[in-house]
Amino acid sequence: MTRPDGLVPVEGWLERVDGNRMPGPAPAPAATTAGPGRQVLAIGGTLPAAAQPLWTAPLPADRLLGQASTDGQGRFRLLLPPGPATLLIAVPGGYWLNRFDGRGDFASLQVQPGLAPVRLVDDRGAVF
Amino acid sequence: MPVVERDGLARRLGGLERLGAAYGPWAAQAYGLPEAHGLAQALAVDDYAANTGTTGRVAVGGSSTGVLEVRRDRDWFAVDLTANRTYALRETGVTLSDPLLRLRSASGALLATNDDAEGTRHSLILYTPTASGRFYLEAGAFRDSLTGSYRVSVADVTPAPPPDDFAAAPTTTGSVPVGGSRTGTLEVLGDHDWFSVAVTAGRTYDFQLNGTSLADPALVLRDGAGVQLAANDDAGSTTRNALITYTASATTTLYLDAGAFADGYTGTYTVVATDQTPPPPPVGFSSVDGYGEASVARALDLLTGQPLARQAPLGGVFWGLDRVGAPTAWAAGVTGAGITVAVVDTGVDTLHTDLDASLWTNPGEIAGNGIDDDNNGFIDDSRGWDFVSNDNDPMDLNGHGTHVAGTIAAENNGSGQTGVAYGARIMPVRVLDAAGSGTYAAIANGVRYATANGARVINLSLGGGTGSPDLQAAIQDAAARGVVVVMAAGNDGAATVGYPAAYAASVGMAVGAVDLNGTMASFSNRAGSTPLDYVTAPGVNIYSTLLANTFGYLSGTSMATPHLAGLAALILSYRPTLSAAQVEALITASASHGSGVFTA
Repeated sequence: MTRPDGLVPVEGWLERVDGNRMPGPAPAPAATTAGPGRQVLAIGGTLPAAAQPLWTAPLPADRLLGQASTDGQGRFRLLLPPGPATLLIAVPGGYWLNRFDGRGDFASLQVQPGLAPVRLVDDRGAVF
Repeated sequence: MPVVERDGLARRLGGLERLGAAYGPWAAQAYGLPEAHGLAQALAVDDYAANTGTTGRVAVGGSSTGVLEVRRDRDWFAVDLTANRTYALRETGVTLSDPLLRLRSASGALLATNDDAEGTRHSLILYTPTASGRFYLEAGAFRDSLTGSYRVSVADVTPAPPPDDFAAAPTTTGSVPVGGSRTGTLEVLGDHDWFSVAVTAGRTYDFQLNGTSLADPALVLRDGAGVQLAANDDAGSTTRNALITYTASATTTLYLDAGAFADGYTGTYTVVATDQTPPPPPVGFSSVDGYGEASVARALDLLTGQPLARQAPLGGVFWGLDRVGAPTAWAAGVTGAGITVAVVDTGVDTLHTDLDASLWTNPGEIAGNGIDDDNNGFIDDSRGWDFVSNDNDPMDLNGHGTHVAGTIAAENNGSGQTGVAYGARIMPVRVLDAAGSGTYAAIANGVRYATANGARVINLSLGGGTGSPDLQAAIQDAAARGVVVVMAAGNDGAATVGYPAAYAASVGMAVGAVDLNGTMASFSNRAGSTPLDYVTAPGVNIYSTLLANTFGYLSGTSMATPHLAGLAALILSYRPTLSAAQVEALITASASHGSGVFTA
C-alpha cells in the first residue's frame, strides 16, 4: 500500500543468534528475539562496507531515511521512500550488518509496496 | 523256651551291664542254658552301645574289636573324618561269620551300608566325606542273625596327589613371557603356583588366570619378596576368571600367584600376560590440534616430491584461502576440476550467482521428465536430493549449507568469495531443515546418496553429542569406496571431538578451527588423546555465500570443515587415483603445528 506521502511501511524483526548453533540431529535452539529498545536505522542507497560488518564511521546524515526502535518482540516498523535502502543495527562501537553483496557493500533492499517483512540478525556471538 | 525269647530276654538284660555282671551266671543257671552259648557273657556286658553315646572309638589308621554278644546286637564306634579324603571303613569278622557294616552321620543318620564287599563276607565301605566331622561305624551282622567277635578299622586311602608342578615361591620354575601364556594345575586344595614375569617400568599389563577345569581361579600379583601388589578373583572376561591390570612402577621381575578362590578348588588353568600399554600417539599428533593445520601446498609438495612455487597472500576476505595454500595449488593448475564434493547439510542456494555455475549436475538424469533416468532410486535428482522433504529440490532454507558450499567451490568470478576448490562441483544434499535440525537417518541417507552418485569428498559440517551406528556405517562405506569424509570437530570448546567427527579415529577426518593467525579457536573442540585424523583449518570469521545472493561471515568448525573439503578436492583433482586413506595420510603428514606464522 502506498501512503499519501509516498512512504512505504517496512516491517521486520531483529533476531539475536548466539552460542553454539552447529546444525545436526539435535533439535535446533530457537532464535531469540532481540527484545525491546534496539535501534534499526535505514540509509538510502548502499554503503561501501568493504565486507566489514561493523560500520564505525559516522553515517552519512543526509542519507538517513529513518530510525526505529524494536518492541518487546524485536519487531520494528519504518516508513521509507521507495528505492534502495540499507538497514543497519546499532551496536556498541557502530552499526552492524552481516550481509553483503558481491562487491562487499552492505546488502541493501529495494523498498517498494508489498515488501515482505525484513529479518535482521545480530549473530555476533554465534558459532556454527 | 524258644531261642528268640531267650534272645529277647538277653537283650533286655544285656544293656544293664552292672546287673548282668552280678546276675549273669545266676541267670544262666536259672534258665538252664550252657555257658558256651554266650548268653552269660551277653547278660554280663554289651561292649558298645548302638547310639551316639557309645564308648567305642576308632582312629583313622587304627582298628577296634568288639563282640556282637547276642543276635540283633549292634555296636557303634565314633570316628573323626576329614572332608575330601577317602577312607576305607571295614568290619572284619573274627568269629563273626558275616559282618555287616553301616556308616552313620554325627546325628545317627544312615549314610552307607555294606555286607560282603571284601574277602569272604567281610564288609568294606569306601567313603569320601564332603565335610569334616564325627561319624559312626555301626558293626552288625547279616540280618542281625549272628553273633561273634569282629574288628572295625579305618584307613585313609586318599590317592596321593601328583607332584606339585610349580612351587609357590620365587624359586618356581614357572615363568610367563609377556605376550604369552602357561598352563598349570592346582593338584590339591590350597595349592598355589607362582610364575615369574618380567615387567618394564611404565608399561601396563593384563594378567589373566583362566580356569580350564579349575572352577574359580584367583590371581595374586607379588613382588620379589612375595608381597602382594594386586589381587583379583572374578574380573576376567568370563565367569570367575581372574584379571589384574597393572602398570609397572619399575623394571623388574614379578610373580603371578595362581590359586583358587578360598583355596577351595583344584584343576587346570592358563595364566596369560599381555602388554596393554596404549600405543604412543603418532608422530606429530597433539591432543590439542591433532596433526596441526592443513595445507594443500605442503600436501602437494609431499605428493610431487618438489616444492610448488608459493603465491603471495590474497589477504582480506580471502585469508582462509591463503592459510590452506589454495592460491599455490591454483597457480599449479589445480583447481578441483573433475571432483565432486557433496555438501550434506541444510541444502544449497542453487540460485546464488556465486554458486550456480559450480553446482553438480547428475549426468544420468534428465531434469523434470518425471523419470528416474539413471535408476538410482531418485526421480529427477539432476542437482542433488532433499532428504528432509524427500524431493529433488535441495534448496537451502537456512543458509548454513550455502555458506559451506561457497567455501568449497564459490566461483572464481571476481565477485563475493572464491572457493578453495573453485573448479570442483558441489552436490547439494539436504538433510537438515530450515532450523538446522534433522535426523541421523537422513544424514546417513545423504551420505549414501553422495557416495552412490559420484562424490569424492563429503562435507559434514554438522554434529551432536551422540553417535549413530547407521551414520558410522555410511561413512565407513563411503571411505571404502574412495570418498574422503570430512567432519566438523564441534563447537563446545571440549577436549575431544563430537560426533560424527569421533569416527575419524578409524575413518574420515575431523576438523578443528583456527583464526586468521592460525590460533586455535576457543570454541573449537580439541583432538583429544585418542589418535584420530584431526587437522585444523580456518574457521573464525569466514566470509562466504549466504542466501539471496548475499555474503557474510560465520564462525565455527562448520566453516573450517569445508576448507578441508576443498583442500581434499584439490589433492584428488591433482591425482584422482588416490584412495581416501591416501588423501587423509597426505593431509595429516603435511599438516603443521603453527605458531601463528603463515607457513602455507
